[in-house]
Amino acid sequence: MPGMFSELAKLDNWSQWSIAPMAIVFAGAVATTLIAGFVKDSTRRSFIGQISIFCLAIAAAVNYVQWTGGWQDPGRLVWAGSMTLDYLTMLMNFVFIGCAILAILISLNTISELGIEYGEFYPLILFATGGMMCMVQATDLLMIFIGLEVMSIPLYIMCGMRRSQDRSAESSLKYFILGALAAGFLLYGVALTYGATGVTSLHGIQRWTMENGGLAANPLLTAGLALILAGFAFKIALAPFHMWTPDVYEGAPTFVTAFMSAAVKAAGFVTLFRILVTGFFQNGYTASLVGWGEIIAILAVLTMTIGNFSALVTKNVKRMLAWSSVAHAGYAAVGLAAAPAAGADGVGGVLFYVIGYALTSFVSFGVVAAFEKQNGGLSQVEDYRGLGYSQPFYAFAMTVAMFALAGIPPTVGFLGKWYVFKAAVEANITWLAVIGVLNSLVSVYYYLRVVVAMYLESPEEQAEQEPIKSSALWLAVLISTVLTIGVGLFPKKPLGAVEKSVSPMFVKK
Amino acid sequence: MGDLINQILNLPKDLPLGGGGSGGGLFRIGLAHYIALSAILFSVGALGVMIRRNVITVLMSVELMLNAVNVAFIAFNRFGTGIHTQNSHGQIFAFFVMAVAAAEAAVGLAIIINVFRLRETVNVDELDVLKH
Amino acid sequence: MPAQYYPMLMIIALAGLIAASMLTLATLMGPYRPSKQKGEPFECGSPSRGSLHQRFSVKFYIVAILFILFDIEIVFIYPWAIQFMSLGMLAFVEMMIFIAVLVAGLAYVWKKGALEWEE
Repeated sequence: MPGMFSELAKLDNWSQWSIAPMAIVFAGAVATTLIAGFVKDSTRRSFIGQISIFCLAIAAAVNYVQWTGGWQDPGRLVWAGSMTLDYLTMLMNFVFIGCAILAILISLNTISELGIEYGEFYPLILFATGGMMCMVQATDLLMIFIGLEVMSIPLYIMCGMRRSQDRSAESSLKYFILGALAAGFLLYGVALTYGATGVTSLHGIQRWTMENGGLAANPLLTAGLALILAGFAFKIALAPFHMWTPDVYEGAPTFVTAFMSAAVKAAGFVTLFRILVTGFFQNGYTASLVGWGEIIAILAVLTMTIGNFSALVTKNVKRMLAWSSVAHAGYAAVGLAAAPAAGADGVGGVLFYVIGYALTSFVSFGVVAAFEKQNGGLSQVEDYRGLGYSQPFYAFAMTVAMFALAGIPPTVGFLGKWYVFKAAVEANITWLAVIGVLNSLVSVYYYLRVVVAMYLESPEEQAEQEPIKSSALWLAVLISTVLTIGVGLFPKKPLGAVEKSVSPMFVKK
Repeated sequence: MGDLINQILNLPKDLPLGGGGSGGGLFRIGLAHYIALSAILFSVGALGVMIRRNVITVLMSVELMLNAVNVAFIAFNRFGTGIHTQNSHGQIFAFFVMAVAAAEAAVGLAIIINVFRLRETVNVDELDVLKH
Repeated sequence: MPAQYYPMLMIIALAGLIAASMLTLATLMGPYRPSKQKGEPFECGSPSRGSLHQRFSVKFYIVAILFILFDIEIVFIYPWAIQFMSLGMLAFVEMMIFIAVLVAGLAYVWKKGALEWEE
């Protein structure tokens, strides 16, 4: 049939290729699945890991070409309006690829100690990464939902990868049940939104809302937004939907925990603010909206407080970090609560915060993974006594992570908190910033307890401590530590990228 | 009852309620009935996830929630509310929900089998090693 | 508004009444001669023995899981197939990619031995 190929030629206007980084990651995932199936020899496992890193590197390179504007001008809608290629997408692609590479690096040295004797971890992490990229790039609730599920389903399995261990299996079951519940809420919210507006694209919802007198005029749309919020609150662990977090984070293999607390949280926050800002918000139009800002402010207060006070009484380091991850979702939500009034500053604060937190959580969980590898079941704060002298490198990295999590300069954690709280003050919700600062002060206690244990207390018995030998793990911790301090010291370029990513969302059209 | 739900949902009064003209009053099935059915199914599913102790039942409740969503999507698509454009987004969405529900069920069953092999139970109350 | 629901109410009441009266009549008038044979759960005459919780092999689950996974993909292929001519080349290429991913999954499952019934 003549002319049939002319449709393929339509792909020549490069905009359709904007999904290339995501497609490369998915292609890598399928390829590594086949390799994992056909290569029986379990010693080839690290080979699959190296292929995965290679795929991610190619995707990052393509993404870099797009970032520099090599292919087309960004910001347009592509694929029938269901995807976009803006700087936010590209920045997050870098973040997700980076997170996946760091998680794979940590896994390379620790995966066999955990009894995971198969290579399926690598395709799964690639699928999850591709799902995140899809979710952030999508501007249609359908694509967002598919991205969310492609991200979540591999994570359910990854949590349970230590098949013979009770904790891992249970963690995976809990995450699955609550994740499925969250997906149900999210979907019902999308269905109600579709019922109210007749569309599922974010821009369509925005147009409908503007033409029909805002959210408050339509209870159906308000209920839809509430359910969507609840669904995402589950994913990013905002109280009161956070109950699964400590159990799942503790039971999952540590490199999976690191990946979840870094990348999944970032993906959830970015998608949430894309939905809220693009779909349910317009400049100069906020007064008549049912304020989702206020709802998120309340969730933020709850999340920060519950997370911090629970971390305060937790002795197990991994569980303490899980609670701290809940608290950090609360701090990031402060910026989101400020977004209706502070605009790009609020959302930019969230973006900078989640990226900074992603770096920091790779340092902290990387060190936890290293100490676990060395001592098997090393987990309580008391077990960290004296490690400052026997493991100077990892102890230093842990100190940096604890300072960053507590928000002490010159780390990225301080800057993140600074921007988020500044946005809250700009948005005239100073009380929220004050609660945030008070919470940070509380958190200093339990973060510094780890540092004090490492440097100032000595262990009961002087066991022979050999230096931890694991090059990939060392590299991952080194990279994330350097970035945690580096971005804190020289924030100009990262802030520029964040600014470039979020400001187009607030341009009046 | 239909009018009442229409008022709550803030739907236009002149909404075509369907039914093809056969019968009237109570037996004229319209959007409101489908949405009520979907809301009831969804609530039953959500309650089931929260209060049932058998993991297999919880999994079935999750499927119930997703199917309630499908009913809502198809009904909204059929009766075209909102901007009243005749698109088929609702039907397309329902297809994807079905596919995702199947994937979730498969992974969920695999996880449950693994837990059962380790613990010899599918009661969520007995799966509590992470609390200690 | 409530007036139109009276027929419904009457049907419910009538249904309840009939069910209750039948149960009552059966217990009052029917003969009651229990025996050991009658007390057994119905099992087509064969003796009901064995454990209450009969275990099924996990293979059934694996086959069931794989079945729903590969079965559900027809919801995407079928609409494409009936609209094949009007959708054109781009949709064809997309569907081939979709099927290729499925085939990759099948190859993985096959190689892993999940389709082998006998060990």
